[in-house]
Amino acid sequence: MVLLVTSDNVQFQVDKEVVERSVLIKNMLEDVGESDQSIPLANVSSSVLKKVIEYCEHHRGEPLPSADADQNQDETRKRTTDISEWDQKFITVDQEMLFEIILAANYLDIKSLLDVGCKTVANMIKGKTPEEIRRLFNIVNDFTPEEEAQIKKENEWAEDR
Amino acid sequence: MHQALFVSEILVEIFSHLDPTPSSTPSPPRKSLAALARTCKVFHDPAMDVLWAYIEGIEPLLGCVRRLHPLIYGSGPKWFGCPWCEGVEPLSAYDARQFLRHAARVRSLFINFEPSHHYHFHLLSESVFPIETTVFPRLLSLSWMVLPQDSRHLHLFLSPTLRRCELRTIDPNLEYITTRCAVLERLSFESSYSLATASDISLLSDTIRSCNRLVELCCPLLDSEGFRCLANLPTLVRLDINGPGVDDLLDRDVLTLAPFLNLTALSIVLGKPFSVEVENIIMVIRHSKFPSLKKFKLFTDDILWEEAEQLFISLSQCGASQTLEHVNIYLRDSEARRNPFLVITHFLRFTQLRYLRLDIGIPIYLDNNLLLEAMSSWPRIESLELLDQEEISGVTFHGLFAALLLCPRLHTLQVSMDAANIDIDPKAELFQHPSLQKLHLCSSPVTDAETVAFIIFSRLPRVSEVEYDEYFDASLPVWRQVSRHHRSLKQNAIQGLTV
Repeated sequence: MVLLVTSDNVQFQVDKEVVERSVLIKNMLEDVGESDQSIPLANVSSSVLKKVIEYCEHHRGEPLPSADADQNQDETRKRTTDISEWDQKFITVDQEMLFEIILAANYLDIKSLLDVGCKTVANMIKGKTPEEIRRLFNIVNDFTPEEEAQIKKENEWAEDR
Repeated sequence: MHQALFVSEILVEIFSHLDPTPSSTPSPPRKSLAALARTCKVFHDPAMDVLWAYIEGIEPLLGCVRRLHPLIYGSGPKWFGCPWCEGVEPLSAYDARQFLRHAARVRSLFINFEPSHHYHFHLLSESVFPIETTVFPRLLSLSWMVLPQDSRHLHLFLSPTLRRCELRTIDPNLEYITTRCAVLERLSFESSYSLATASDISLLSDTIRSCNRLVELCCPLLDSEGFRCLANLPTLVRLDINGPGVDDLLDRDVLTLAPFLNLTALSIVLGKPFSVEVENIIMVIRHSKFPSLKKFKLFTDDILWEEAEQLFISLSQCGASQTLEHVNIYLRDSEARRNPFLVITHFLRFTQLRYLRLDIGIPIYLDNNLLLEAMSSWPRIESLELLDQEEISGVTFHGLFAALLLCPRLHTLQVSMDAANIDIDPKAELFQHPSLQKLHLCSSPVTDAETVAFIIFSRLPRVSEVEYDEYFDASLPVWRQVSRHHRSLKQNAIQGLTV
């Protein structure tokens, strides 16, 4: 078992096989060797880590993507926004938690979880106008109307014509 | 706005999932990326990088030139044969700066046969785009499928970062690759469009000599110099020979002990080769080492059986006998003579075989003993497809199941057998094969449909459907009955009914 300590100082005892889905933690464990030392995760809160552990538990034993994975496979993975049924249910959370999970997956280097989170956001974006995207994510438009018009002109080939 | 949306690597991850697939322009993902680029300044660059990463033709770049924008987008639909750029002046130095504005974002460029892709080239004059210009400084992949008269513009599209280049034909502009593309890893020619001449092949060999990081090459049959370069290229992993080449015999001394150290896949696809080409292929296979070869594919329509047998013998004697895992051979005899030879025996040395497919248009002469010997030679076999033209096979159920015992990983089997000879007790408790899922029995003779269906159902529980050749002969109606009975047995089993 591995002891993880979150930013809000909550301790989690987790199976080594489960936490090793995180490349960051796997590397840390390899560096410290056999030891009872806890691993501090200063960037992850307890509520987020709970979700991350739930994900890793569910996907325990599945093959991890290798560092030298085929480029075509990677492109195919990126060009799809399909999410498995369990993952879809898992990631049905409020927007704040969704982005916290993405940040945690990025920090902990859990590629498959990062994919699930990013695909979910991509699905939310699909087909929306800039104004709809701004409303969705509470974004302030910092372009001048001229700048926005110029970008639109340059990208006109990408619009339906 | 959540702090995650300020992290550019996360934005790129998200936006990459909206990456448009080739040949879907304009597509909803592309439109979404264009919308993201206008959402806010933080999104702009990551969205533009993903949006412009793949383009077809140079019209998107020309659309950034102010004076051309209304011509491209303002005139409604453009008609085939009446391009907007007809009579338009080439780009000035001022225009060129606008044209190049997003060129550095392009990582993958596809120029196809469409006239609209070609009409644009006259806009790129040599005075503004001199020969040393690199239009796409970060380009990774180029597909350059242009007509020969447009090929002279190739140099503009090559970049020092180029990893993958797909060309339509071999032509003199290939020389630019030698000077500009030092890190090229994949080079291919759609050589079916024209026959390569001796000077083409010589030019190709010169090019290959300079590509010392080549991982994959797809090209016509090379000359001795080309093979010498490739054989000594440690990075080369895959070689596809996709067309005829020179009509001279290769130099045997060049090929003797040619290492091809890390070549794992060799594919030879020749439509109707001349004898000299077959002889050259045999020479390459026979004299090279291939210590890492795992995959071998040979497709040819027109070959003498004497030549085919020589090919098989060369293959079985080459250095790959202990490494080859995947063999796929399609051959047709030019004289359609049925000259029997025991094809399978040539493959028994390949002890690592996992996949073997032979479609050679002649009888394979398989019997119980040979099948047993084959399966004991290939303990790792997962897929065996022998498209046998022989109507009378020496393989019976007894021999089939004895052989299957030796290959627990087999999931696909296509073989001709004598299914009319039921030489096992159908009700006897014997083994069930754990993995066989796909069973194709060609046009094997069969008489007792019910018993055959039961045998397959009880011994091969993972086979969902019995497959057979659909062309009509005496066995076809019986095989349809076998299939029906088998489906019914599966259905009953699912419903929990006693068989």
